[in-house]
Amino acid sequence: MRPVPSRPRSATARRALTAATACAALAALTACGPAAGRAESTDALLSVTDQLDAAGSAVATARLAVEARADGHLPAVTADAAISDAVETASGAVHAIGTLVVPDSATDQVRRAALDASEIAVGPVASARTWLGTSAADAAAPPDLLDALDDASTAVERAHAAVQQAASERAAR
Amino acid sequence: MTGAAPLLPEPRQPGRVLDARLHLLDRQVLDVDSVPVGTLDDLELGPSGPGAAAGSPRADDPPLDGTTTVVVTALLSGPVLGTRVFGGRPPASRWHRVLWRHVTDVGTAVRLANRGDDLDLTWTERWVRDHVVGRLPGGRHDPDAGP
Amino acid sequence: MKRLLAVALGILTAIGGFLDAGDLVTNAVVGSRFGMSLAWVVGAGVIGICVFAHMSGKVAAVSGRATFEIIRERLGPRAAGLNLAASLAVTVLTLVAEVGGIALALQLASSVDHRLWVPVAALAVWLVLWRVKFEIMENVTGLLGLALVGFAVAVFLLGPDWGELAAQLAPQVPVEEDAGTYWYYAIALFGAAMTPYEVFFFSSGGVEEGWTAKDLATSRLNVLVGFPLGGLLSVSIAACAALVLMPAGIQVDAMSQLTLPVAQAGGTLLVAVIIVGIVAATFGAALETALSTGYSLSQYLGWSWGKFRRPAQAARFHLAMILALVVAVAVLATNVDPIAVTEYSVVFSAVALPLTYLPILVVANDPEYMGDQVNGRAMNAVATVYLVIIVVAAVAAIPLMIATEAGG
Repeated sequence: MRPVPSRPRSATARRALTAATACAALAALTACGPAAGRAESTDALLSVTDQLDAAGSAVATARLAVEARADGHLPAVTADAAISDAVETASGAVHAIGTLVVPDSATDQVRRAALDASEIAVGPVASARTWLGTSAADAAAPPDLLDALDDASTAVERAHAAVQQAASERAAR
Repeated sequence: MTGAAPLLPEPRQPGRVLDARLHLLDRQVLDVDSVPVGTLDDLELGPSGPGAAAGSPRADDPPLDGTTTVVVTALLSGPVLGTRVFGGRPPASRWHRVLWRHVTDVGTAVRLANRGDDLDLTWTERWVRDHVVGRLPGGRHDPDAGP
Repeated sequence: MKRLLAVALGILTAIGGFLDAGDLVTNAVVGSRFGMSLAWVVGAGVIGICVFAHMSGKVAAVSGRATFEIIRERLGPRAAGLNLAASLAVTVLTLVAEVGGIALALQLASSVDHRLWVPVAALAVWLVLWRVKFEIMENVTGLLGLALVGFAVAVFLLGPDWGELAAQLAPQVPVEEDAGTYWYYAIALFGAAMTPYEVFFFSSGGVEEGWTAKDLATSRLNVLVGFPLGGLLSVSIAACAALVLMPAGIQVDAMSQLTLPVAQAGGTLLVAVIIVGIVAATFGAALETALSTGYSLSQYLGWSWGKFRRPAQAARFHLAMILALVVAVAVLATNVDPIAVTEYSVVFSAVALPLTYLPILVVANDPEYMGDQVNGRAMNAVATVYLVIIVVAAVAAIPLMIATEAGG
């Protein structure tokens, strides 16, 4: 005169499933935490190179978008979306490098150089958006804008190489 | 039924043998129009024969001693699911029953002879229909009737 | 003739319906970082989804029972309840990604910020779920999604060195990436191709459309032709990224970057076509994921469900979908990056895969449900191999995510 108790069959399978689901939930929580708190200097430098990569990617995106827009290949609204995303990425990189806590003054010097380079990158990307807003349809891209983007790209690349060299020196020690 | 362990070997029963866990529990329960009314979350068992009135078991019922034949008196669904997941036993007055005599067929789903809307079990469906979904514009629109 | 048209329509819908926000983003990211060296994963994923989508469609057609009803029957209330919780979490996460994807795509067409598009997109999804007939909904989004063929056209117009592109197809870790990241993205691509909601959707859709054993041949053809072609579109997105974005040093972190190779190849017109395709693909997937949350919850609890009923006759099912959409809008309102959500959703899909695929395989072999239509030996062999792959991917996903900081 009572409800049938829960079934015993496939008890191990069920236990395994329970464990798997619990692991997944736990991992979901862990993964949500930000990747913060890199204390080691090599880790910090790795983080800086990641951000410089992002800044360089933003500059290249802006450059491709400007060229495509100048050739009449990209609708103005789409180019605007692409470049505004690039501005966000570039300024995000500046913010990330600027707020990174580094363990020693030597690393800090490298970080400052990288910060300068990433700051250089934001300017031309932002002015690409300004050009987009003011230019008539299919206007040729102004050479000084393209030059500025190229300069920014070179600066970021140079900083990237410098950080990588510092990191490999650290690793060799 | 394999619900209770008999002392003597069970005599061969005529008809189809159903395993409660394999063929009944956790099956979908469909009403006479094939509309789902719930999942078969649990079974209520009671002694068979005269004197064992259909209905809820009471505390002063004599305990079953293993010689009494036990039959399924009702399908349970709804909140009783909680006891399947977490264990424990809610008061029998809280169970939503569908009497076994309404069952017409046991296949890949359990079919009933009555309409789902007439059962207590589907009160949440009716509540959501009357208070939320039915009140939104188009809530009673037939998808096959065109826009 | 009419039957031929129906088959053609089914195949075209399957191609257009194959891609969703997860496929778009993951393929572009992977193409820009790894070139074509992960394209083999898409191939593996397509075969897997063909096998299991066909199997779940067959179970639905023969037994008339949809996936989660079966999961509940086979696993019992506890294990199935945990499965439900995990599947719902992943499906809602995917829904967030899809609604965010619609908003991002609309931003590309309007330059109005995507955060403003989110409520509009969610409302449009709800209206379609509320009012539009299942077949029309499926066919329209599928056919418009075919516009993503534009990516394949773009690859041809870019006129790549085909030999070099084919040489990239060999599975190898590029020098500037490490093996952990490579395998992390392999799992992400696999999860994107095999997302579990497609199985819920496919089996419940079979019930919605009233499939019987007679419709199996058509469904098999749709899947076997449509999904591989859809996979080819996935690979062409990766190829576009590999040809244009990778040499420029661009890492994809925004939907807008997907338009750059297309613009270079085909100009404004092709970009417009692609944007239509992205909107349709994400919109279709948003419908499917929202329906899947309703399907799985209703089937576990035995509620009345389905778009073939009036909303009032499946009231709790419709309420569940409304709540899922409200949750999606609420999550996106926190200003979370939809691209990041998408990247996580495909990895968690990979984690949840065994939960859905194992019960299907078990039931497809159960003569009580399937009669003489149980799986053949070849089918079981392939399915078992895939089950092993799926379990390995699911187990490896989270450790790799932590080790590589989500592919950073």
